[in-house]
Amino acid sequence: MTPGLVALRLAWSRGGLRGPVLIALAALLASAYWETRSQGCGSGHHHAVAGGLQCASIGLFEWMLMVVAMMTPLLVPTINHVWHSSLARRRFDALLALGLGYGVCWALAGMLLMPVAALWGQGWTRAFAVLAASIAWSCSPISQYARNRCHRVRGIHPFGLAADRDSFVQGLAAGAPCVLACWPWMLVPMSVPAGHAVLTLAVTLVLFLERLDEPRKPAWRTAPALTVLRLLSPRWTGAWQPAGQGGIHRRFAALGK
Amino acid sequence: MEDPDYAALDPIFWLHHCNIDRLWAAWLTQKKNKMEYRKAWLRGPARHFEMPGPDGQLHKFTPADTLPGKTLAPTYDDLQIGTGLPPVAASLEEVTGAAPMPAQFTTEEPPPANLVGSNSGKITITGAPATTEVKLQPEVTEAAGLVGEERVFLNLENVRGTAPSARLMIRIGAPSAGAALAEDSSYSVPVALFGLKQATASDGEHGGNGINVAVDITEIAGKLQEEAGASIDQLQVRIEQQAEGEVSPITVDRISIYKQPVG
Repeated sequence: MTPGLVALRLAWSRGGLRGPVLIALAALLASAYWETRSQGCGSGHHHAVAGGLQCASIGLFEWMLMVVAMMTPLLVPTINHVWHSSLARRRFDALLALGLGYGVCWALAGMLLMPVAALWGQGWTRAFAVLAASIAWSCSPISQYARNRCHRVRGIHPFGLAADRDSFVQGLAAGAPCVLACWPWMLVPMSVPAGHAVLTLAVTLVLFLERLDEPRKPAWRTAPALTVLRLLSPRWTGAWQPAGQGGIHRRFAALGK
Repeated sequence: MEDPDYAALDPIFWLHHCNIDRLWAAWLTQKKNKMEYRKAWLRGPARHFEMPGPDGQLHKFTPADTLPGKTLAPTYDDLQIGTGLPPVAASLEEVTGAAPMPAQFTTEEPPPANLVGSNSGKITITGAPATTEVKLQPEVTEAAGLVGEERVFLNLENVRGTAPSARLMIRIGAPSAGAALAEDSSYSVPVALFGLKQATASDGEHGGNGINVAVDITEIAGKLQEEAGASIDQLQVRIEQQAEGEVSPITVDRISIYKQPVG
């Protein structure tokens, strides 16, 4: 069982999943709605930066909506960590500081990636090329390194300013590797000419499955989303032996040989 | 036995695990205990437990199979020696046979444990003991004190190190409330960190988060409270490595206190 799955199961049993999933869905709906309203700055994201400061800030707003829609489910284990590491009366402050730190990482990434998306433009061929590049990125050792770092949690001071500081730093520590692991995937929904919201949802699912995969040695590997899908499917459970499988299971199996 | 990669080759590994099962069986003979009975527990993890059978084939099993009366329930000659059970807690038949076990099955979520305080940052335990102050939130000390109708837990969070395993001795006092760190062993708790190095590896199963340890210190906290005669707003925790010769440093990100209502 991967740390991601354990955290998810804990969150599920404590009812801690509903909030993040609702927030993500709300952001997705808002993002889809916004797309139909923001034609003044060009169609959606790709012209946003070219249209002056106002359009750039609208672009950043759209970008952050997309980040909230796609990344909130991925952040569930970290949200849980901060929530349970904080005093009951400080929990919402802590989550706010966490979200701020995490948001800063993605806002900075957005400032770099939105011009890239604008230059790249939209079209099915272009979208397919970005998708292929994203899959290749996910298979790469640097992406694996980043995903390993996504699992890392930090100690949170319980009192005063130190508590907010630690939650904020936890947000940065979760956001930076998250950007590194996911950045090309964010360009996929941005480069399709239509069906932006559907693609956002599909990419969210891929990234979510990647987040559930257990930490492994950084190396070229097949897409982690596929391996996690196989792990979740009852047909494959038991029959499938993951390459990096450790723990007691492997020891028992080794003794049986 | 110290390295998780080879521990199962040591006979003591099997004795140790069998004894843990036995302690659990003894615990199940106590009517006041509540035994988890939700599907997540009964079915076990998504990746099933598998064991090779005498036929050379791998056999799947679930935690539910090991409950009293089920196919893989073990039987015991004695459930008192070393288990802390009062004599004649339950008849052997009740424990081992098909009769319902005295502990109650429950599908209720245990009451949530809440943070009430922690130390202020990472500590490193080398060859010399490390001492740290654990501050408790004012409400705890103003109201019912550290121990009320609740259990008190001391958590060592994100314990990391380079040794395959390590042993720690944790000693707890409250000098600020007049209950200094006592050498008396009833104020200390031993902790074993099995698989420390693997849990520290950033590409390992723990993602480099190390080991988390939760220790029930309700009794110790109660005694300190009694000695202090007043509310305790700060605990002192001293941790030392229990090893002969050279030791490698062990870090603990945070030492915290949680309280959980008795469910």
